[in-house]
Order: sequence, then structure tokens, then C-alpha cells
Amino acid sequence: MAFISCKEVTEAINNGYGQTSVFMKTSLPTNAQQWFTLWRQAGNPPDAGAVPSTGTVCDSSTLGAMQIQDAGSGKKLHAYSIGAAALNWGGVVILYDRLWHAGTLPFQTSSTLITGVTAPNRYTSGIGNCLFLETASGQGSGTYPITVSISYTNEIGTPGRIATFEITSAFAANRVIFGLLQSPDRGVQSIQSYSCSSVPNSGTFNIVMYNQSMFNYIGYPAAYYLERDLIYQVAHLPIVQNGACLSGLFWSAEASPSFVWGTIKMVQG
Amino acid sequence: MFTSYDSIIAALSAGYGQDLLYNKVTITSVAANWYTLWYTNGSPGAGTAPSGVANSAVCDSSTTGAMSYGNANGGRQMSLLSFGGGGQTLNNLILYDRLWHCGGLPFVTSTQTFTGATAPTRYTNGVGNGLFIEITTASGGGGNTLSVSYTNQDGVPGRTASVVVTASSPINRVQFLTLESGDTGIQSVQSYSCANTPAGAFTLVMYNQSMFNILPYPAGGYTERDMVLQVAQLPTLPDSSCLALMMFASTTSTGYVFGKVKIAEG
Repeated sequence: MAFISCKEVTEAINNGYGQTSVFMKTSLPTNAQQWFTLWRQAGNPPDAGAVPSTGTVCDSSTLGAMQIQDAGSGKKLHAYSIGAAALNWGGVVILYDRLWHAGTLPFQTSSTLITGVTAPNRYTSGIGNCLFLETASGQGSGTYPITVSISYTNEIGTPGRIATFEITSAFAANRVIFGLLQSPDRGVQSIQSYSCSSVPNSGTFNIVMYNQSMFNYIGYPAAYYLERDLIYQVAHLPIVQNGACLSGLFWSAEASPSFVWGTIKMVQG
Repeated sequence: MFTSYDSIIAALSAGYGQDLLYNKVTITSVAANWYTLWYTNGSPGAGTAPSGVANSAVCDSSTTGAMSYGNANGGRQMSLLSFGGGGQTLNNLILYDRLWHCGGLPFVTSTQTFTGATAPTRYTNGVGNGLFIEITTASGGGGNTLSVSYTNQDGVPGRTASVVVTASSPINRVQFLTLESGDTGIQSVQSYSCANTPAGAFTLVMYNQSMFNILPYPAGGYTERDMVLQVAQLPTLPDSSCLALMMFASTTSTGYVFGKVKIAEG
């Protein structure tokens, strides 16, 4: 089933098929105008998450994921609004579905195999799947920029494709680095290995897989909650897969917001 | 094609939407001027332009530098639903379909004839097609008139588009060409020449006005423009559109920029 009209969406909400998931995160990273992960930040809900050292699928039961209930049989869950605000400063939050991660990886110049599970269990065709890095612990001095190369299988099943990420200087912990798939790939089915152009004195990182179709921006002014309707305000109505591991990324206009919070509202039909 | 707002909602709910994410690092700019992000690192990666009049080429969604997406399924049509962006610096961002380009062109007075591809494969009737240049090597001093010979939307050849290239234009600067009076588009380009010969090089680019979408965003923030109800536009994407970005800069650097493009087929 799927919604075929706006009226159906409204009726589903009125008939009790809606749900709201709240996030509140504290102890935020302090650098302005950089992307940081909210995955490992303290909060309730959800609690701070962890990243295992071997490749692992993430789902809604993973510690750190927002609390959501799957759609009933024959129904699909959709996000129909997202909202966010932060103490003191304006900024941007991204709510995304964290498909897979592997963590606390050391910088190594030799090719290092990713062990454990190497593919997600949602968006398994790979179309739209992308990667970002999280600095698990801040890097020390070294030869920058450092290029992290990740070998992956693309959306048509071709292995040995290379995604690249550039760490331009010693980044603080929890920084997010977006990278680039090999042209003209449109997604990632699985991960094989990684290598780095040089090794800093210290630091580790996480690899995270997400899907572009569940990657929702919400911008908000200082100390002001702003909610974006995903039905009428912007025609998005993104599908939230059963078992989705919803989490956030965070961008602040200024340093030191101590608290960010928001909601995602979903409806099944 | 979409026949109602409900048909858009139905298409999205049935999985016919696509989200195209992008981010680009900052480049040097001068306030109140246009800048291309085609050659800028980020995602999609930095593009290139084939060098020399013998290598003029059509651009499509598989061209390095283009946003990657899947074409509409048979019998369906792809439309742009929203365009969102944000970044470090207040700017106006433009999303456009890059139809054709030719790079590495010097400023010379002799007529240079394009011998590679000379016509786009999208918007082939030419209506709404325009031209701009991207400075790829900083130009020398003195204003310089660039003239491009083209065939207009009615198939009339030998028409002339022109622009006075600003003296000492920096790299990545964009300037738009004016078509000959009365023309509403370009079917193909034939050649170019310049009034004088300052240093520097440029890329000539063809785009279409119907897929030229402008998004302002605040410093340190994110905004999204709905193309269905907020501004009733719903521009159509021909198959294999080469979606790219340029910016109207507000200060001395463009700042890191990020965002997403939402498209759907119906």
C-alpha cells in the first residue's frame, strides 16, 4: 500500500496511524559551521550510541537510534514533518537513516579489510547509498590533507570501486566528513576495505553508510523551533523503512550551542 | 506526468522520488558576481570541460561533475520538486542543466570553429537555450568583446551572441552572453572570436532557461524552495540532464555549501 492523496495522509494521522519521535542532545561539539554527528552525543531520547569495530548493520533497536515503530503489515511509514531548534544559535540538523557502520578504525596506509557484516539490510539494491566518515577520536599532527580511500561494490554489483574522503587538518572528535563515490556510481551495495594516504600521530574514525532518500535537512534560526512540513511545504514524504535507524547530524552557525532538540513525525498508510 | 498534487504524493509514496545530495568546498569570489561550481571539489566531484574547439561536447548525467540520478521509467516524466541549500555564507545558488560545453578556449581575434559536437541533445529545438562563459585561466586587462556565432531557434545560422568580458576576470567567474535581438534560443553554435587577445582562457557553456533555478540561503542556515506550491514551477528534467551548480557570490569567498535536490517521476 501507499498513499495516493493528501486526504489519505490526513485521514491516517487522524485515525491514529501517526507517531512522533523526539530527539534531545546535549554536550554538543563546539566548532562552528562544520558537520558533527549526534550519534555519540549524550541525550534522552535517544541515548548516546556506540560504533563497534567490525562492520555492523544499524536498525531501530540499535542503542543511539530514535524510537520508532514499524509500519503494520501492508503499510509503509512516511515522514511528514521534521523540526529542530538549538539553544542560543541557529543551525541545521539532518535526520537520516543510519544503515551500517564500522568504527574506531585506525589510519593505515596499507589496505585494511572491513570485517563483520559489510552490507546493509535496507536499501539493499545500493541505489542512493552513500558514505560519510566520523572522527571517532581527534587526529594528532601529521601530513595533511589525508585521503581516506574506501573500496566498495557499487549499485550494479561492480566491486573495487573507490570512494574518497579528504581530511584537511587535524579534526576534532565527532566531525563528519562527506566524501565522493567514484564517478558515475549512484550507490553502494557493500564495503570491502580502506586505506589512508598517511597516518597522523593519533586518531581513529568510523565509516557510516546512509541513503540519500532518507536524508532530511531542517534549518532553524537562533533559539527558535522551526518545523518543515514534508507534504505541502515541500513535496517530499520520504519513506521510512521498517527498522530504520534514525539519527542526526548537526551544523551550528556559531560555536557552543549546548542543546539541540527536535521531532520527526511519521504516518503509515 | 503529474496531473494533480495528489499524483505527486502518490508517486512519492510509491517510491518514485529521488534525492540528490550535494556539497561543494569554498572558492574565492568577488561579491555580486557569478561563479561556477563545476570545477569545485565536493560531491559531485569536480568536473572538467573538453579542451579546444575540436573537442566541444554534449554534457549529460554521466559527465564527471554532474549530479547522478536515474532517468524516469518508460512513459513517465521527471520533475524537480524542490531545491534546498545552505552554507557558511549568504548566497544565491543556481541549479541548471549543462547542455553542452567546450573548454580551454583562448581569447583570440581569429575565428575559431567548433568541430566537435555543436548542438545539445536536450532542448534540441533551441528555445530557451542560452550561453555563458566560465573563466578557467584568469583573464588579462582590458574589456574584451567575445562574439559567438550560432543558429537560432528558427534554424537561422550566423546569428551572434556577445559579451564584454570583464577586465582581469578571476578563475571561475561566469558571464552570460546576450543573444542577437529577437532571438529566443540557440540550436547550435558554430564559432567564436574576440576583439582583442588578453591572457586567459574560458569555457563556453550552453544551458536552458527553463531549468535554471535560483535559491537564496542565509549564512549558517539552510532553506528549501518547493517547486510545486511555494513557487508553481515544477520544471521538467529531460532524461540524462546534467545538473550542475553556480553561485551569485555575496563576499570574497563562496563558503562551504550543501543541500539536496528532490526529483520525482510521474
